[in-house]
Amino acid sequence: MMGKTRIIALFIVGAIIAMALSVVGYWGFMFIPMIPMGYAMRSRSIVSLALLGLAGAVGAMASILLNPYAIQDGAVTAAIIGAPGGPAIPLALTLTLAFLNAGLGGAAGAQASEVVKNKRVGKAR
Amino acid sequence: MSFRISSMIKLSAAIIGVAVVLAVMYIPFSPLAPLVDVLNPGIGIGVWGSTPPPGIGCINNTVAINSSTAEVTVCVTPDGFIRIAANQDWALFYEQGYLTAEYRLAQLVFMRAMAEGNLSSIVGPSMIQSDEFYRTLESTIVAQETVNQLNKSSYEYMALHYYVLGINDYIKSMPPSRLPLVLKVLGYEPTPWSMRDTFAIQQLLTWSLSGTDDPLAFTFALENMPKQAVEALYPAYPPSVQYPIYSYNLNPTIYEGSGNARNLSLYSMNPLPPGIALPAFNKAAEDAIAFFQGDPSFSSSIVGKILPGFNPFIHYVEGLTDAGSNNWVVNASMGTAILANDPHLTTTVPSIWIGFQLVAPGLNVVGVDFPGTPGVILGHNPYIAWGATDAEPQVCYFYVEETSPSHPGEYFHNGSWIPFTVIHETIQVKGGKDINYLVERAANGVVVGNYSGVVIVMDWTGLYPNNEVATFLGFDLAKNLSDFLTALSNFKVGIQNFAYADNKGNFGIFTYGLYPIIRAGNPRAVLPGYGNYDWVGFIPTSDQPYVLDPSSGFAASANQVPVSRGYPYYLGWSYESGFRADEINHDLSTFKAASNLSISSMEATQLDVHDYSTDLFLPSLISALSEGKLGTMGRRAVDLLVKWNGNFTVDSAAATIYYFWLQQYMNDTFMPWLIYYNITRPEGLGEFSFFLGPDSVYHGQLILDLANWTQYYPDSQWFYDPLNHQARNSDYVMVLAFNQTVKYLQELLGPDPTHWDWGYVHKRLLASLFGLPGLTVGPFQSPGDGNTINAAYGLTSTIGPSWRMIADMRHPMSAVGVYPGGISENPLSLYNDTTAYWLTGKYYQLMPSGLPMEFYYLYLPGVKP
Repeated sequence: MMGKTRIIALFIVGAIIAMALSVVGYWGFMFIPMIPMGYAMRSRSIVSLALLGLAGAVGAMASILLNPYAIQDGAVTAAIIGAPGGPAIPLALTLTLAFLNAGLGGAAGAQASEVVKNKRVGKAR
Repeated sequence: MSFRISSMIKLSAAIIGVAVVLAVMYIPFSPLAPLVDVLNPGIGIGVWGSTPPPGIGCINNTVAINSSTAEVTVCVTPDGFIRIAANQDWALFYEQGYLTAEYRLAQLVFMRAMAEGNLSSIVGPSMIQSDEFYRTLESTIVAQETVNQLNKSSYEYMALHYYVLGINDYIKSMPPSRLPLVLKVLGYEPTPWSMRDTFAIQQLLTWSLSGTDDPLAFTFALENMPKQAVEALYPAYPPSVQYPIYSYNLNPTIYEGSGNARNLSLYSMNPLPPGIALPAFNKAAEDAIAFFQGDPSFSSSIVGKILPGFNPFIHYVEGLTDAGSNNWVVNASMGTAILANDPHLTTTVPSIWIGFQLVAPGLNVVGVDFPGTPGVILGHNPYIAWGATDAEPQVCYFYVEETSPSHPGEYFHNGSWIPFTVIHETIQVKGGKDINYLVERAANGVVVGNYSGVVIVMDWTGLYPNNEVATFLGFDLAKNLSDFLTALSNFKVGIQNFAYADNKGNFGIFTYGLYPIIRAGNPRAVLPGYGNYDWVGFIPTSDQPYVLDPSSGFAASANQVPVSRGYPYYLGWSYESGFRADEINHDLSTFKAASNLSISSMEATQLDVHDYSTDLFLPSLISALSEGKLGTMGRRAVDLLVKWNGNFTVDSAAATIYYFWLQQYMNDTFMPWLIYYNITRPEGLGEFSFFLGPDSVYHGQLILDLANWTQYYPDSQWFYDPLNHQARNSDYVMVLAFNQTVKYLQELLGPDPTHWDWGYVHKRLLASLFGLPGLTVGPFQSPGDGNTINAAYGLTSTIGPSWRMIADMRHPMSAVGVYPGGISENPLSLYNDTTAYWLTGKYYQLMPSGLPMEFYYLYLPGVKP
């Protein structure tokens, strides 16, 4: 139960951090704070990737929606680059990158935690 | 142990994954900016953070520069106009520059880059050829020379100074959210504007109005065809009935004196300089023709093409093309002068125009402006109105230089060997290496073709400093004809038929500028470059064509032949067919006879979609078809033609049949001869109007031959098919073309001719100025064709009346106008607001009621700016 709460808390904190980084334009660095968060999550790396990646995407999306013209801007951008489907492709690309950036950072943190844990276990033996 | 290895591998994979994601985000996919920037969700930063410019409304503010302050009122109105009233003239131009940048920054950036040969630095290698072309035109050099010659105490200098300051203050103060999306996608940060940039854009526009490479291709006609064929197919003066703008009857004074026309040989090939072999010369000419493809206005439209590859900017930029225009002035009852104008330029979004009303002490002008240029280009003030059509004189001359292997890098000119002047240009290419490009210049032009030492140069009046910005600022301020003509004296290169009407009832058309004079040879082709055929001067202004207050009661220009036979100077030969002019003359004569010369009748004339060519061809066609061998469907198609009035309305099936038939009739008549005379693709077959080029075939020179033969010489030898040795007359070819047309339309539109509506095949499209199909507006079913006053060239027309204006100078506040698109280049705001009006033939009152009082300054007593 405690673990679940921690994970939810870390997800929320991750989303807030991701949004903060997005708002100020440093979304490319989302993976950095996600590393210790993934470490702290103490879950399997795939879970960290999914949850913290989702936090990154949610944070980015929240930042995007702060601009009331954002979705229309996405549609215009799609028109400029010749992508069909209105804003769908730029939006999907943005959220995918945010997801992977944050999620892979979290996965790296989780895996580092795993490695450290294994090292300790090895020493104890 | 294996568990630990597995963990390390997973950790490594996660780290590599992060690295890959970062690489995807940070490495740019040329020509786009890195995704981390483009898609940045930060507030105002990436594409997600963009906000459009302000919408409709009025604001008052105080402009302060150094120790000067001024009160300014700005109104953005839904008719596509920005209205600025300032109590200081410097503040007016500052605001105009500032607001132009606010609403059209990307357009400014791209037009400047195009004019100065820097597009490759923004969009990558796809635009290298365009950059090389404009570097060769020396736009930047000429623009700087023009700036250097400006009088720093002049009104123009003041206007330019503050206009530029306004643009740059906007760029400096612009929040990231307002950087245009197209620039964000490209990762381009706008650099400061300068006066030179304004004149570089002027060069771009004057080239679009006056540039041509016709003589290169026409040389092949002279070379391959016997003189008899050239005389028949390409008469230097149109064979059919014409209404010259400056006919002898309207102004005999300009026909006095002796010019150069009688000394020229317009049907002969020019001699080649010593040592130049014909095959090498031909290759050099082909090389030069290919070089001109670097000018987007010579390239086919991007519209309808599928994006090749990943570079959406590969076709940038929609060429600025001038296909034709109309203007006329009439003397209505009680000495009232009315002016109407609709220049046919590329119809884009954003428009090449932006509407402005500019009010300052001594000034209240309303009309349209080219972004990047202070003032109003076409419009009216309380005293005068003016409009323009392209006069289409020949101001580009081509020469083949005398060169020799024993004099490398030199050309023989006026008795001595002279080294080419070489200018080293560096073209920066986004995502590639810089290109070192050499521009070579001789005394008689810049090098545009070089094959195996055979050098072809082009002399163009625009290669020398010229200040046409001064003309328009002068027009804006003019109070009478004298002021107008003083301003017009600055206009040199992109020679226009400037229509004029004033509140005193004067009306006229003037086509002043630099008309080169050569002493001998054939200017229609490439001339020898050794000096004897160089320009020796220009036609004196006193001899240049104009018409003022003609007794006919009106004057009209529509790019037709400007003068009657017998004008002493050679002006050129490649004009429009004159069908639009014929129709305008018909309409104005009719309205005049009915004493109905008014704004509403002028509107009706501007919107006229009757194709005058039908008056010439249709009776002969119907006669031929009545006796021709036709199928059932052909008979039904004939029935439609018989009942037709020649109007190209969207619901007319006969219009569709006629349009395709005329294309086919032209092709069936002339293509066999062009092939027979070995005119090839590299020589311009299918590219130039006189070689059955696209669309312009419909209104080029050959159509006048065909009209003449069909009406008066139906058994002309030129209906003979030289490829199949088949004797034919006009009836035979007309029926042949008709059957081909019916077969084609059946496949295209189905078996029922009554359903072949013109609107199904003929559309208007407002192409994206940036060449981006996703940002185009349309297509819309459209009436008209390339020969109608309300012109829509081609089947998917991206060229047409880019601005319509009618001003009755007895009541200048009642003037009306409309341009398609809107004020803004941002698709989210004021991008496409005026298109519906334009498409449906509606007009806005240029000075609507309800504006703050300062906008009625000089019209209403007691009002101050």
